[in-house]
Order: sequence, then structure tokens, then C-alpha cells
Amino acid sequence: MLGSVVRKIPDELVEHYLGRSGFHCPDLRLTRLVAVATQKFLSDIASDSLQHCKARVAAPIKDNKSKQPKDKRLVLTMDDLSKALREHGVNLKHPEYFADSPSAGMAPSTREE
Amino acid sequence: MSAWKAGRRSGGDMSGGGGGGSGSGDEFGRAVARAAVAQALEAAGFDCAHRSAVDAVVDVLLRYITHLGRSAAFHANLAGRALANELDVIQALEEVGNDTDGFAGAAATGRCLVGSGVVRDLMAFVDSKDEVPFARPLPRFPVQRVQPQPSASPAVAVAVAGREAGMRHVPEWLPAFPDPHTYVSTEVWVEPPATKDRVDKVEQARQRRKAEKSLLSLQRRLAMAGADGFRPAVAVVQDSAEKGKEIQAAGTKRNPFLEPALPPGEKDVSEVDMPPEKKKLSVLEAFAPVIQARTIREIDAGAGLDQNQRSIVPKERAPVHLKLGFEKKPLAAALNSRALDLREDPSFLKEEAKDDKKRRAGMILRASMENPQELPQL
Repeated sequence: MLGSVVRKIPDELVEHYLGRSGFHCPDLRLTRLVAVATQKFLSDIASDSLQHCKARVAAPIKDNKSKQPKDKRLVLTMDDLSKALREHGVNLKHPEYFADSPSAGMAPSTREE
Repeated sequence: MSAWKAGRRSGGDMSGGGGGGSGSGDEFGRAVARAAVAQALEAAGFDCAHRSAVDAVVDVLLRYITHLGRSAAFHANLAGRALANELDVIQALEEVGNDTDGFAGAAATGRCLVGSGVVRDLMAFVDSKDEVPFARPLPRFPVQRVQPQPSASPAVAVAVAGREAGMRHVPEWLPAFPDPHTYVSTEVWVEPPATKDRVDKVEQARQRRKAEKSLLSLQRRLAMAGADGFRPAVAVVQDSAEKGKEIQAAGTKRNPFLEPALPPGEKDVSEVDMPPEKKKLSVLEAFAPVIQARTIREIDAGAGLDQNQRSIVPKERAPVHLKLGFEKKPLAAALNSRALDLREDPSFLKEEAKDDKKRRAGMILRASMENPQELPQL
């Protein structure tokens, strides 16, 4: 089963970070298992954020300027990522810009909540 | 479940350029993960992405891997094992939770982990993944393994050689010994002891002499200072006459007999011409034993009987051979101090009446100044 998956996460990378966290196992299959799990996680995040992005694009139908193709440029933004990650239990808050006062960039994010 | 609410405010803080805030040295791993993430995003359907968003995903991914590893290791340790099992991994996966929704069969307890919902989800995912076209798998060489291995190949030979040399008890995976000169204690070239002893002796002798000299001067000074009003400058060896005057100005009682050498007639207070240092000292010394001999009698006679002093003056000078010169007898100093105490009293009590007495005494002293010179020097 593990051999058939397209491993986008290289084994060495996974082994390195597993070793850093104290997980030592000589069995390669376990490493592959963790790699597959992370790949699944990654694909989940990607698909969720893609859905958010598409929903964002599809919602405001202004006119036929650039929204017609509906997938002209699907850009992964921090907003979509934040929404996708929230469902996985990761709270990601990205300030849009840095201003002098700490309350300057907080209005949009609070709106987003 | 979502035991991993990693407060990702730190991730949110990395805005703008390239998110270097969370990375801490494992830049290469991050770069590799960035490539993997980009590939996965592209496979998911994204055309492009913000760089900060990609970095955020990379950070989340690495934390996910780390978290899986940590919880798997924890479960293994909990079971009393050092090496992790696949079941540990599955347990960790269950603990992390793929989704907040959970997975099928999460509520069932007492079930075999192999048939857990997580595994089934994974298998389903794997099966679904097969549909994705075979993108570049990006085979990486084990670059991360280039950790500074102490037992690198050049050192292995040494270790191996050491093994054969007799250190077979040392396992091979241990790093080789450093250069032997760093830990082998060799003989230090010792200086020939003869010269050392000589030098030591010379040094000791010099120090002893210095100590003696300083002790002597200290004693003298103490004795001088012990007497009130007695200017220590009188008895102490003076390098210069100014020193004596300066000490006098320090506020000692004005003893007319101890005034500095002023030209006669300049000051009526001081009737006595202080002789030069040597003479002065010798004069006082001349008086010292005499006055000491007559201490009690003089005191009874009341302070200020200059006749006594006058009588003393010419009488007992001869036996005094002391010379407060440049190497000294604190004894002489002590005697002098006592003598001066006696002289003080008269001077303070009857100032005006003593003026011409002092003059007479001064003349006698002056006369006596020359005599001590004939005394044999000690």
C-alpha cells in the first residue's frame, strides 16, 4: 500500500524531523506511514483552502472582467489558508500590514472571525 | 483530538517576505518542505500562492511531523519501549486527529488499532491518490544526514586502528580519541634547582631587609607619635628638613623647645635654635636619659621648674651615646618622648615667666649642641 502512493514528501525529510522529535525507528515503513499521513494532511489543507478560494471567487459576481473563467488565478492567500487551518485546529492570524498602532490592522481580522 | 491548537500567532506574524521568523537553523529542511508543499498545492489546483502562505504551510507541516513523532515516542515510552511501533504511530495519529470531525470509529473503545478509522482513512487516501498523475517525486539524497558525525570516515580509521591497538573495549561508534598530546601528560622541563635556590635566597634576604627597615621606621614613628606634642619629625629620620616643619604644622602642641630651627630672634616664641637634624636628635638624646632619671623628682617639683631642667642640662649629657641618626633606636625615641612631656608642662603653664628662662635654657642647649658631636657615634 505504501509503495503505491506518490510520495511527495521525501523520506529523508520526514526522518530528519522525526529524529529531532525523538522518534527513532529503524523501520522504513513507519517512516513511510508518517510521510503518508503528512501528505494526506497537506492535501487536505490544500483542498480546503482551494474550496475557500473558489468560494471567494464565485461569490462576488461583479461583471465579466476577470471572474468569468472563475479559476483564472487561484492564489493561495493567507486568508484562505487561515480558514482551512482553523478546521484542523490551527489558529493562524496574519496581519495584513504593519502599522504603528497595534489596533490598526486588527479590524479586518476581527471581522473575519 | 485537535490536541494541537498550536497558537499560530507566530505563523501569523511572518508576513511579507519569506517567513524567516519561525525557522531556526534547519533552513535546508524548510527548503525541501517548501518544494514539497508547492508541488502538493499545484497538484491540488492552485495556480500560484503567496510566499508567506507557502511558508506558513511549511511551518505547519513540519510541526505536524514533529508532533507525530513526539506523540509516537511518548506512546512507545509509555508502553515501556524505546523504539516506536506502528501502533504507536497509529495512536498518535488518532490523538492528533485529521479533522475536527474525527474519524470513523473514534468513539469505539477497546478496539484493535489496526482496524482504526485513521488507518482506513489513510488507506482511502492512498487509493485516491493513485489517480494523481505521477509528478516528479523529487528524490532527495539523504542530505539531512550530513550531521557532524564525530565518527566520520577519517576518524573511523583511527578508531579502528585504536581497536586493534588494544582499545577493543571501546565501541566503534564512539568518536576517536583526540591527539594524544592533548591528554598525555609529558614531563615538563624542570629548571635546574640550583639557580632557583639561589634566586630564592636572594629574594628572601631582600625581603627580610625591607621588612626590617619598615619595622624599624614604624617603631620609631609610633614612639614619636606616642608622646603628645612631640613632633615625630624630631626623632624620625628626615629626608628633608621640610618634612619636619610640615609635621609640626600638623597641629601639634606648640612646644617652644621643639620649634623648628628658626633664625634667632625672628620669633620670640621659640627660644631654642633647633640644631640641624643630627644635632637636634643628639641633643634630645642627651637629655633623654637624664630626664628619665629625674622623672619622678621633676614631676614632684611641679612642672615648670626650669632650674631643674637647667640643672639637668649640663649634668647628664655625657653618658648618652645614642644617636638618632639614620638607623634607629626606638628606645632613644621613647626616652626622648618622655623627656619632652616634661618639658611641655612648664611651657604651657607659665608662658611669660619662662621666657627668659627659656632663653637661658636655649643658650645652654646651644652650648650643649657642640658637645654631643664629640660623643662617639653609635
